[in-house]
Amino acid sequence: MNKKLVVGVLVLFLAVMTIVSLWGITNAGGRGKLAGGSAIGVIEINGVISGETGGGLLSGYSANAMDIMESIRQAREREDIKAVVLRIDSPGGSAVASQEIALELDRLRQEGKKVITSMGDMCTSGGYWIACSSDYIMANGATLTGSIGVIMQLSNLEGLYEKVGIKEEVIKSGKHKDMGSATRTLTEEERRLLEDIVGDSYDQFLDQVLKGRSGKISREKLLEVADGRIISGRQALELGLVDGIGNYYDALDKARETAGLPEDSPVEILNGIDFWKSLGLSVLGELSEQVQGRFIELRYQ
Amino acid sequence: MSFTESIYGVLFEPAATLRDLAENKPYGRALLIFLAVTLLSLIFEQALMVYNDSETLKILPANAVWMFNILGALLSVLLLLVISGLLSLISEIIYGKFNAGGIMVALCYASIPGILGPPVHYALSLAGVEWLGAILALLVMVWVLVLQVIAVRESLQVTTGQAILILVLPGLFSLILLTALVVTVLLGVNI
Repeated sequence: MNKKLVVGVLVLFLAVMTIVSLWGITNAGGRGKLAGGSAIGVIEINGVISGETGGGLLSGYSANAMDIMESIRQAREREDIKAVVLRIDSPGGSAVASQEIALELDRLRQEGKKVITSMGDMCTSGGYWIACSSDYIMANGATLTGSIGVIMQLSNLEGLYEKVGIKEEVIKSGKHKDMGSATRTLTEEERRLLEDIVGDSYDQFLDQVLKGRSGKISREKLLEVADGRIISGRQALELGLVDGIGNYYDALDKARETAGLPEDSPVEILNGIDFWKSLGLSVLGELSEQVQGRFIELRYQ
Repeated sequence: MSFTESIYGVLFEPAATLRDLAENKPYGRALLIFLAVTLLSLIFEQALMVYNDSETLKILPANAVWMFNILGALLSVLLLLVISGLLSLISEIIYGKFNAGGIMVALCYASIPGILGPPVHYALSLAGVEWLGAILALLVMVWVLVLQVIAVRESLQVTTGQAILILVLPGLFSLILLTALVVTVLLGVNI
């Protein structure tokens, strides 16, 4: 009886501590919440910006829009977070994912919270789109930025299919339903339709930059460089595409300054490690998605 | 011996319990206990790293941390098998006594107190007395080391001194090899 009690208490202790530990790991982002204090939240956007949900062994270097938006929401809801520093090191990625993140940032700023962008090695295309939804953009002199433009890439595997003897039979409800199919060449009409989409997305990109950089760059000046070219951080400063040159710590100082926080105000990384996703359990789902493939996707990259 | 009795025995009557386990060799249960101890420790250690805002978690990609941890857990099982065989071999060469299976089972059970260190450390860290947690975790490590000596002693029916020597020899041998390797590299001798 005594032995059972001792072992029972031990097992109970371990069970409780397992639950507490898992809770601690899962809610790592929320740790350090300050009661009545003020902090700067850091949201990291590293790698290709993607709208895909889940994350596993293959997603170590992709920026998932859902996770990032969740972190922005967290910053919005938490009273102790007074300003957010976006640390972006991304070549861009999904147009929709970039738009979604930028929209969420706009909502955060509407709540009166300041957003400062700190550019890493690269903050181009979709990454720059997101940066335009911040109050201040800080780049390093050698940061690669810009690449304002839209690209849609389609593969025509018609020749390959012929060689391997694959012939696709298509039954469609409308003439454009298989637009962009990899088994045939685009028709002129289809090309025009897709070009319209790319053009419209490009206009949206320009609007986003002009809105975010209002008073800092004119439409004419922007059009001169918005041809997809990449530029350095220093060139971007001269053009008015960024506000200052400095590193991550300068961006933190800027965030403190704009939010009126003391110099020693704490910093918290809001999109830290996700316990369950880091186990890589969703890797099969991801592979399945990749195999099914969405053959058309607008990309800001 | 029931599960409860074996757990209680390892904690409070280690010599008799480990001797009995080394004789009866409940392999499956022993390996399950070892795996449970390893995996639970992994979770507690990860929680501690998160709590301490560990630099490792910032440097390594999140996936890599867990991959390394899981690989480490699997490797520790392999290492257990190798070490058990090695200790038995050393004992056979020096003292003419061998019991690889018994050593493996006894070492698995000897790891049980190790499950207490990380959660106690974590709990006390949460309570604001991390230093006490660290000391207790260290004491638990010493406890496990003592149990390992007892496990080897009871499995091979040797004296405590002989058990310590058997346990220390592989490490000593590795150290000599490593030193020789470093000296060779430093002297620029071509092998």
